Amino acid sequence: MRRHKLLRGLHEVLQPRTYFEIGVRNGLSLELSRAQSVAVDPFYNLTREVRCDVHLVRTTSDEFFNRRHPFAHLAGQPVDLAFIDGMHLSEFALRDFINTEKFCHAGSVVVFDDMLPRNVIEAGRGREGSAKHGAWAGDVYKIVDTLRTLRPDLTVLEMDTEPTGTLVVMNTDPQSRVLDEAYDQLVVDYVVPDPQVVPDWALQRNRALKGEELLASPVWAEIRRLRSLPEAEARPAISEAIRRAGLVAMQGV
Amino acid sequence: MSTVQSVEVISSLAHRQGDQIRLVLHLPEAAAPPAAPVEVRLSGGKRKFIEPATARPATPGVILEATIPASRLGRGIWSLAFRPAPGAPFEPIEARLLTGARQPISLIPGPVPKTRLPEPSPTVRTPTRSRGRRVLGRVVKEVRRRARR
Repeated sequence: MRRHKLLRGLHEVLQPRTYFEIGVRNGLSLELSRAQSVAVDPFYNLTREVRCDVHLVRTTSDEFFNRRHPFAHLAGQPVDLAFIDGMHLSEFALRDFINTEKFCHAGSVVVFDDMLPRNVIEAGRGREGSAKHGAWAGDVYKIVDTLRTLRPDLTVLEMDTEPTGTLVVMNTDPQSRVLDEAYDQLVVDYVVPDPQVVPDWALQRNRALKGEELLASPVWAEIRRLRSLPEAEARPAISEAIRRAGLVAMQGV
Repeated sequence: MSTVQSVEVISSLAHRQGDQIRLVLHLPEAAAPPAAPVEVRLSGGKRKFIEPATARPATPGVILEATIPASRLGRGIWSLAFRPAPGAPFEPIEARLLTGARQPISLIPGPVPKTRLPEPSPTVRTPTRSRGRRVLGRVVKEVRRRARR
């Protein structure tokens, strides 16, 4: 399954009321949204038709989150579905997640692109060598272990999508400050010269799920039903729905 | 006119270290570092700070490193420049340092994006009136209209 097919499927099963995207480029992923949307990219250049009510913001994601009311367009609604495909460097992707999660709820789904590079060159922080190999995934795969280690409350699912894998994160908690507090040490650990030591689980995809398997899960109907409840009721119910659907066990830890 | 120094994003970073902010900038087009001390300048609105920095050779260019007390910067987006030698003009650096209250410190490389619209304020949704209230409103309006006849 290609990554945009997975994203299209998530739009269909989750039926998000709101959608947030970092990294718009030509609009290939934004065109899938029918929800009230906010999309950020300092250099977007749309070549696709967009059929949603969108605030398209021409700035970097860090500066977007520094705004007084970044999600003014959503009129107070949290983000139901987010797609993070900005700068392909781990420290940027982690910041994007930290900042996005503050506007999520227990039933939100955050999708990252480029999480399973196919070789060490694709996984480099520099993109020069990657161009010859077809894609630059960068070293964003590093945040998988960070999320699993520091945030066991999240459900973190590696997805076997083409070309460079995706990550689906569920059970988000806007109150958590664990990653904020860890960030300053993590950035020092992340910024190291190429070549990167890429773990086998990323290269072999031996713990990645098939997109069809995730999209067929009964959890989506449950999340749609539960997400409008007050947070105190929604959080335990959604956590239980995710566990009951077998997704916690499917993380392949 | 001073040279604008580009920043190699893959080998540059900014982060908190205790109550300091550590800034490491790889400037691939900068000339070999001088023996004399260098300085980095941070400008945000009307505020400007000049801090001592160190420079060491890199392949290519120079790695510039500075440590700035976080309390001095507070919140803001800071333009960066460096002075390669005493008395030399400051050379702008094509990156900004973001020190926000609710988000991690970030080094933002590249030119400032051009936005065209002012930052929006939240829209307030007016509560939808119930069907009963809408019908009642229409009845009252009609009664008033007839009463005026």
